[in-house]
Amino acid sequence: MSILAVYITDINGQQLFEYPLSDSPPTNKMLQVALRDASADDIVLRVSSDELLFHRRQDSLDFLIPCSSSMPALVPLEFISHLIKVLHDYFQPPLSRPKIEKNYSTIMMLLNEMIEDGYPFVTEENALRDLVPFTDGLSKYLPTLPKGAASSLKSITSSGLSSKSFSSDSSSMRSNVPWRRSNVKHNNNELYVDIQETLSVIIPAVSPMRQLLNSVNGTSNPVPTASAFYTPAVPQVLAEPIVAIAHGSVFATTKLSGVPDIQLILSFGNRVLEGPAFHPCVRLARWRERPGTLSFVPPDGKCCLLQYTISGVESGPIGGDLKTGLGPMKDEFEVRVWSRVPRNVKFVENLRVEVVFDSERVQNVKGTRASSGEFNIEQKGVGVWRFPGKTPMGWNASLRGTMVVSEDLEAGPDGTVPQEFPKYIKISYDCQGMLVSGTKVESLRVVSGKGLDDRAKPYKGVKYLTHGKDIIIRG
Amino acid sequence: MAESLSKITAIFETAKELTMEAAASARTATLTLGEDGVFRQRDVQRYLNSRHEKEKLLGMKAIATLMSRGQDVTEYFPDVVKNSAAQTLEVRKLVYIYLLRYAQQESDLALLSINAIQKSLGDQNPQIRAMAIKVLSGIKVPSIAPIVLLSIRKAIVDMSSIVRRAAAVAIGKAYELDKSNLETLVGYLATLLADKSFYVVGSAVQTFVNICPDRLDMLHTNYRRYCGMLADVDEWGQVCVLDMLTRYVRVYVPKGKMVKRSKDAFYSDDENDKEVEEAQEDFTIDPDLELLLAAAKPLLQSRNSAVVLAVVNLFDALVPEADLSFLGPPLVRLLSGPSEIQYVVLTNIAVLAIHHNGLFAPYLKYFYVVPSDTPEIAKLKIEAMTLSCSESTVSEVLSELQYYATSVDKFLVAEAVRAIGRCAQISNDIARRCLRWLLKQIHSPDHVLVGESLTVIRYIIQLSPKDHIKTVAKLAAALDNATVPLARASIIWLVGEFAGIARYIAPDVLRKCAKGFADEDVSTKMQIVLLAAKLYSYYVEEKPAPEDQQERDEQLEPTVKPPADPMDLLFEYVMLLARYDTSYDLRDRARLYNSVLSSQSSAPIAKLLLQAPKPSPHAPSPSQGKENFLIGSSGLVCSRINDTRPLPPWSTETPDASIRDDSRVEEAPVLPPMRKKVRPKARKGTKEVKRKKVVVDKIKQEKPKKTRKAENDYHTTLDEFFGEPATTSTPPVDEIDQDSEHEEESESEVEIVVEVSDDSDEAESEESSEGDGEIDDEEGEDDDEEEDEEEEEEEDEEDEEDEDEDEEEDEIASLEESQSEETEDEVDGAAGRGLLSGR
Repeated sequence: MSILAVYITDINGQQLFEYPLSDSPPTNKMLQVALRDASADDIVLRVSSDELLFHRRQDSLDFLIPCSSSMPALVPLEFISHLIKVLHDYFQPPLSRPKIEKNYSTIMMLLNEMIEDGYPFVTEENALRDLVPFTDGLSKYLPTLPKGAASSLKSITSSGLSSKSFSSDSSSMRSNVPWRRSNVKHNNNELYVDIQETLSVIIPAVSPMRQLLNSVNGTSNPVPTASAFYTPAVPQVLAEPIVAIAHGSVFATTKLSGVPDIQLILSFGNRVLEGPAFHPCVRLARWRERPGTLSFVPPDGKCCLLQYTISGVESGPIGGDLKTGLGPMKDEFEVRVWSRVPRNVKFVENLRVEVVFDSERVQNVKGTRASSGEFNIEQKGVGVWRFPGKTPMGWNASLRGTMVVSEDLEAGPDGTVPQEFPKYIKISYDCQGMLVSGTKVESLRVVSGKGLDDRAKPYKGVKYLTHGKDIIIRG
Repeated sequence: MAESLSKITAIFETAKELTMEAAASARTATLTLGEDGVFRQRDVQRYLNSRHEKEKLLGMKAIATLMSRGQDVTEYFPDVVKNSAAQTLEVRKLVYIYLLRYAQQESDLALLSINAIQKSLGDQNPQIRAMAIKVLSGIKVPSIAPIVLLSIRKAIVDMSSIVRRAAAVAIGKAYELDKSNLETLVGYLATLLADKSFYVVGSAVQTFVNICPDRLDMLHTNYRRYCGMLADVDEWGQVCVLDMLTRYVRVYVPKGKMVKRSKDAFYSDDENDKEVEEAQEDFTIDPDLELLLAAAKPLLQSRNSAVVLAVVNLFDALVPEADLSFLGPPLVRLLSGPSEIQYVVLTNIAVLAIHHNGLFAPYLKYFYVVPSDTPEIAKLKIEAMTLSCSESTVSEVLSELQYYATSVDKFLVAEAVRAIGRCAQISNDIARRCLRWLLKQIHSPDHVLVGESLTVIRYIIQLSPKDHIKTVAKLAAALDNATVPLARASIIWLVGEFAGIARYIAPDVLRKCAKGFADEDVSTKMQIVLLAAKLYSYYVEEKPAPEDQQERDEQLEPTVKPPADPMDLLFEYVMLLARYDTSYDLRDRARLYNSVLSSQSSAPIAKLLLQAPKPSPHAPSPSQGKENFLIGSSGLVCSRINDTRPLPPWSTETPDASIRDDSRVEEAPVLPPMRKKVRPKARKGTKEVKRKKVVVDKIKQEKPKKTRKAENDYHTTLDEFFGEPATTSTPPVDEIDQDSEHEEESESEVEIVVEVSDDSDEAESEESSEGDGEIDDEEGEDDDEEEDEEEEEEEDEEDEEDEDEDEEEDEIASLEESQSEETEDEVDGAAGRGLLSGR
């Protein structure tokens, strides 16, 4: 059960970094052959009957970790995640080829601590900071540099210093709070909580039967012949989403001196969190006593305190629909998007609508008329309708067009080629200041802080972000 | 006076060095090593041999760069080794990394560094001690194996948990270095497995898994303690501990049983599981197993997906019969991770869903495919969805699958249609519904959809052919409109297959097809020829007289419903058409059928050839067959690998639970007054316990002696071993040394086997208590107190049924202490957290 080596390559498979851990691990060349032979989606590759390859691409770098076959599959994959997190912590994201090449010795020392006997060892960023100093010259000037790292720097510069002085003061602390760096000192004490939710929604097509019913009932959608620029108020009848899932993460960015103890109380309304996951620093007993209470001594810097999933949330601040078979020839489609009545947000950002069609059957999209924004076919089978910058709330837009069917298609049984329409539309956006699940921070306070100046009142900030990722509206 | 003088000179010395340093840095500012990415050997060597720490560091960094690039840097070995006693920690660390990688190739030169490393073993800073033991054990030079053993022996009783943890890892490496030392190393490992610090236990268990995974008996006394500290062990350690405890329970703890009478919920967590109670048959399990389950359950909330899967594996392997519905949410939550992790988790979900059908039923929506899913993930999602659906949810799933089946993505289409076929197995009603929908798809312009639909239709028909004669008729009717050659071919094949049952349909289909033969696609033509042959073989078989052609014409009887005459003609007509076709393959086939069917003598062969009953197509879920792999293992994700570690089977006869008792008796120092209480207990325990105790005691007993010895003449001995630093290693001396080591070891081994007599027991306990007292006084006292209460309790109640009470009291007792580790309450919050709140 062991990791055999760590390789970092660029996306062309050219090796940038190697760190062999066994006598004769599979070479990068062998791994590249295995990668080439495999389909792009194979996550775990078989190198030989005893050797596996786990790989992941991040920031235009490939991380390759060959392992022996008895390794549980998620250990190397989670290790890669940790490695990437640590490298981000040391060298700032995004990682790049020059960053790797400049810092070979640091990466090597990091891996030396992170893997022991072929198995992940110390992987907490804070613990590693105590063990491996920043050798980046800049770090000397960083005001928030922890004492441990500073002293190691000092030991580099002054040769008279014996090794005994090296972070001898840090070892006592570590055993108690393995995730927190020792002797943290900050001039400005700050504490931020960021909650991010990624929203996935699938809205099914409204069946023709239902549309008919609606029109009979009079609460109907606009008449099919409505102009592209006639945009009625937010439509009343929409299909209910069949999937509406929010994946949330609660991040804490702490820049507090000493060993602060923090209590964060969240309210999730009455929603059920599906299998929440916690950072090791969170006291689970407190959470169990009173769900929503996160009590913790945080690691220095940024960390993810809690991950949760909530299903059955609202479909978010942006709505949309897709209609087909409009116009005099019944060959037009219309896509509409609108932002809902504002709650406490003013705008959404990076709004983007993808109109997806069958690239084999559709040659082109003609006669597109968009009330605002820009529509372009950016890749095969996908037209992208963009709204750069900020989009205000209580707004709407529509797009009409006709799909031009490929000529070389065979005719159907009735002798005509059926008209093509978009298959679905996909909306994505970022919305600051709100969470679709209605999650809120009720209180955030520093309960106690050893080494934190009592008079120093830390600056506290809370931020919400909803990231609409996969909002699919089926046609 | 002399002192102050020397101080002043020292200051001057430092000042001088600082100036030199400054000068050097000024120089390096203009001339940085390897600025252009090229490192000239002479330059690098000059830096390595420099007097200045900063230049050394630059030199070592150059070496690090070359190593990372995959270049061979063995030529620098002498220059690098010189720096193994460098003052700067960073330089030293880089030298160590270099040594770890290249020592094997230059073992003689590597020995030069051993002395410096050994000096670090006595450093005040525990981190430097830990680093030294790490390097020492990692240098793959067999001749230093005895030194490694010696230093491990010293490290396992180190005061710092950092060093003990490093020692735990070093044991594994020492084993690799010299496998003959296994027994000794296992002895050391036993000490570390019983270590009080969760920090150490994680690594000790990892080493255990690597060197002696079958010695599960070593865990008896640690089992309950591990359950208690599970939450505090680091996440990678948790993966190992969970796996190992799973194996342990299989071998040593009785399996859970279903019992009629209902009691409490099979284990209660503060959370929301009350639904178990309503079951009529209750699931009862051993209290020790219950302890583990209760400890493992909170780990489902770990952020590390490997831990979550290890917990799921534990529950799946140990209590598959219990209500495991709480496993659903954590697994489903992992689907928000990176796609690699999603893939692995989904593979495991699919396998779990095969056994636990309802486990993911409430989470079907999480398996809906979104366009950003990779094909592999989409495939697994569809499988998970199909496996988890029941009669109540099937319509929801079917409509979703139907959406995929008509989507643009070809891969998705094929997968979805197959999944619909699997859904059809749920009940006849659903099968009919699926069939109706699939028949509609035959007219689709999408070849993939049509092809897959027909395959699934065939599958559904073959499940119960008698019920589906109408379907065959419908298919035959659909042939008139089907345009896709593949679809036509498949339909004709299907009709031919069921010619024996659906007698009236096939000849008519053949008649129609023969009419348009010339315009058909080759694949369709072949199926037409085959259909003709099949029909004719049925016809020939049932024909009464084995005469020649003319006679047959006369004797035609109504045994075959369609008039025989047309049948003959039709067959000959089709054969004729085929004979003059452009495809030679078709011509060949026609000739074959013709010759086989033309004479009565070959009729049996023809029957065999054409009427062979086709096996019902097997349509298992793609993950079927992977159940033998463990949840979370690599074998599940990647086929064709050697998965060497299957779970041990449940053992039928498990030893008494008392073997897991009195872990603290050994772990903590035993004070003389308590002996009286302990002894009756020990007598009551099985022999295994006794022997186990001896192992640990012996080692403890030896430790102080060894340590003292090591402290006294450590360095001198080693210098003797290797003589002059510059000379190569001296094998004879080594051998002697090894021999002496072995003698000592074997001695201790012998002692281990020796039967326990009461007086020896006493003597050992005294000694061991002494030894431990030296090591950690503060903690020792705490433990003694705890011990005291523990013992009293244990004496009072020796039945295991009172285990719970025992624990509760335990809790109260430990609450009083500041540094308790066994508290149930603190299981979830790390001890570190407990300490924090304490301070």
